[in-house]
Amino acid sequence: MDQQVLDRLYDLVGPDGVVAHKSARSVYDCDGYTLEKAVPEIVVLPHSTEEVAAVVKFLNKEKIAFVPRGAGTGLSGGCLPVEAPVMIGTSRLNKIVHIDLLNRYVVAQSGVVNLWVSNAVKDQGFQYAPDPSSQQACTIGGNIAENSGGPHTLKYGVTTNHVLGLEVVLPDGEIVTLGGTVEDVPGYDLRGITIGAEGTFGIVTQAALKLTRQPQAYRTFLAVFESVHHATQTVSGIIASGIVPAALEMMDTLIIQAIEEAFHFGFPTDAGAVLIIEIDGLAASLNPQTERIQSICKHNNAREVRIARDDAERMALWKSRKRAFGAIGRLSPNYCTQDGVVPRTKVPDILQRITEVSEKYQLRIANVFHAGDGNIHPILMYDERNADETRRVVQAGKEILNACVDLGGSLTGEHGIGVEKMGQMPLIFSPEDLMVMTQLRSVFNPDNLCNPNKIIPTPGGCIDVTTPRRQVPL
Amino acid sequence: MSRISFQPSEDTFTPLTQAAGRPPSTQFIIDGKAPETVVYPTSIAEVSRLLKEANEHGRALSPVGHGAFLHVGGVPKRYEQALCTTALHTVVDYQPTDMTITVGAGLSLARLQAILGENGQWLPLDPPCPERATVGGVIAANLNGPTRLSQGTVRDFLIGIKVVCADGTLIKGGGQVVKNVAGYDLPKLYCGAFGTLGVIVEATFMIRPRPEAHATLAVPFSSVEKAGEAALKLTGSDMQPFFLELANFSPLPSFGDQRGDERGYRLFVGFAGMQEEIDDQRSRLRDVLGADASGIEELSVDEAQTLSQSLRDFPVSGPATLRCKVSIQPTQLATFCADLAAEAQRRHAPARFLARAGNGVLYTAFEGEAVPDDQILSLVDWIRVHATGNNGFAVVEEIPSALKERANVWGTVGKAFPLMQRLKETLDPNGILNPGRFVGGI
Repeated sequence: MDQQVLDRLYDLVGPDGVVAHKSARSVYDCDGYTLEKAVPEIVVLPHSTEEVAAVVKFLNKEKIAFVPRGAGTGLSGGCLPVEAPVMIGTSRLNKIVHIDLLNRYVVAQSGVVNLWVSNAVKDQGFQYAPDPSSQQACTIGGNIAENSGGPHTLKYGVTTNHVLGLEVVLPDGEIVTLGGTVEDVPGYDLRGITIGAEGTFGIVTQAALKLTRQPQAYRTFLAVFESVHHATQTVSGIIASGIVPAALEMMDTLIIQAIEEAFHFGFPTDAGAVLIIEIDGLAASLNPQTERIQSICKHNNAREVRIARDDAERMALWKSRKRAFGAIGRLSPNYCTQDGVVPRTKVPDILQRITEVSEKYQLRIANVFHAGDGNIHPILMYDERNADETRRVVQAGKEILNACVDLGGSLTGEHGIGVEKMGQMPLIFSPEDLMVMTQLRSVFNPDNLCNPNKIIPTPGGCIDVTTPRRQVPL
Repeated sequence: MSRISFQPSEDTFTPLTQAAGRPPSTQFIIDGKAPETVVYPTSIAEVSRLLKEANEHGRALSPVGHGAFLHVGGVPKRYEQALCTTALHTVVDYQPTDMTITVGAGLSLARLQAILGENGQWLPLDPPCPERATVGGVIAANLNGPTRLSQGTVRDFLIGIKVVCADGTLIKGGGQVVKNVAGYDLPKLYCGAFGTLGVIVEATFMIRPRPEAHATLAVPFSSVEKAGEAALKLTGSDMQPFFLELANFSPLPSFGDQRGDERGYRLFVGFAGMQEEIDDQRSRLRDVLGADASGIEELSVDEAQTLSQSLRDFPVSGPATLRCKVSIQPTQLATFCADLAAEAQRRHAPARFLARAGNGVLYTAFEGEAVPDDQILSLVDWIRVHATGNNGFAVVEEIPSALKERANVWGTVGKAFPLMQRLKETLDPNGILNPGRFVGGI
């Protein structure tokens, strides 16, 4: 990197705001999507919105591309620096600025970790509803970029349903507020289209987030089935019965075994599938719903239906679920997870297709996912030292996503397109759809300096990735 | 004959050129301006062709449904053609077990709810005039009702959209699944854009089971401050009201006539869900409100239905010189209402107001015969200064057309406005879609 540029960045954020040494920068070579890697030429960690704006203004003037990054827990390569030399990390924008319980919102900087928000208000009976499995590490800014979900979004909605307003540094360095701290803001919903734009519209530095009252009571079930088929039938039965569970999660044998080995919760390792079903809300509503759920499970041949005895057991169950991906490390040196969505009634079909793909490519695939939303997370296991297996993982992942699209679904439910699924965007969007998206990006990001080479495939460009690009040997 | 179908009713379509000496169409008049033509496309392909033509000829076009909300928005800069979507009323796809439905934009909300009701489901939105509100209109004008407190707003349920762009290109955003982050979130772009970026032709919603039971309670208060405090107690509690409305008038005629003071302040609290939940909340309500609960009264099923319609339709019902919608913090509502009532009284324009107390959204209607223009404008000023002073916003939803420009009906939107202008110029470069009707004259 040009020494003059480096000097200027040091001036703008101070020596402790710059990560320049090669070994220190290499930590930033990928996010949770590890199939592709690229080391940024420099990482800057601004201390304030004004510093972010100053850095971006300078980079815009020099026409140097940059990529924003939160905690790097993304799963589609959204913060991979592709032809973007400068990475701007939000880790120092880590303050909760304002808590207003009476009006039920908080203002937090974008580097604040998701769980910190709920922790800051839990003693007063409130929570921030979106709860991605990585919520102990992932940041609010990253959640906004990806429009993150989580197990409880079945009832409570995803990030976009909980954000009132954003402070954004636009790609030219201008600081703007999109939305606000009140509910109805006139004008185009620029907040709405910036959420989920994967950091291509600017860098979010601060957000006003809605708080939700903690429910009066929870009830959490673990339903055990001999087969995935019976579990999926149960999911359809519960949804069709008119119950809106807070969460409805499925895990198959492979993942149950991995989790049990890691956390010793007491999962039956011989089960074909388990469902975690959680209902919450008014205490008075739980008993009648419990009866209905138990009867639906029994009707679908559940081997047993356990109910978490107390909050400790409930928390242990969720901890196991949310750390499921970590447990995979016991089965395989590397894994890649997909995030396709199908209409909820098509879950049995997609699971059948995943089994076929697993056999065809001779790969082990575990399933742990948000069954109530039809949002699958097949985990494809591989060893990146095995080039052939790595290639098969890429192919198999694509085939699963194609199957989702065939069934009327989508490429991604909560992880984003990133670099990973760019090539498949034409499967669900026409050239005209993609053109409007490109125009939209140009409104915010006219020179495409902010997180380039993401989401929208370049026309005529090499978009058909058959092997991972930019793989950096470990 | 062209493929465009025209409804044969005489007052729906009368091209200016054929109507020498007669007034043009009496339908879809916006601020006194009538369109030269009204077209009723029956397919998306027709919408596409009409827009392509309009774009090529620089013909200003306004998408309309049944015209229920045409009084909202700025005075059109130009208005040559009304494109009525009501013939696009098909149910494209309905999967009750997936809890999603895709419909044409011209379907009325009432019809949509009736279809969903056959399966015990509903789209949890209750904007004014569901018989006359089309799906496309509800999205474009971002219309919501009392249940937004517990259910959310249009943008929370809209998961997919098809739009014909200004140049006639058909595009889609989102999809038909309940969770989807592929590509930019285009449904949000068109929600509340007031038809200035494209014509919505189809929409996919996620839907919900209909609540099994309802209860509605009315709680009288001696002052708006006390009513406001009680509302905050409720929203800060672990109760889950279906809606929570604060009014300074009685939306039920029977309250005024038979039950004493028509003018007092009331909270209307709705509950919905399973019978067990309703029974529990009904008794909890008294605990939470404490001494305030003394005058509490539960409405009969018929009364509750009349009430929910009145609450829902308030933003467009009855004559009014001026109507505003204010969005502020819930904690600021009571003071705002008290001060506003006094300001209105001073100008002999008595104010009725209805607040979505848990959302901080306030609808006001000012009555009063022959209020002078400068008094109306000074009231708008007062409202706007006090709303924006509290980081809020005020939109003038109804005012005599002659005052619209001076009242700046949408208010200002701050530093984000240049982005909005660029967006409009990018997606509608010839400025044919609803010109002049949206923020800042967009």
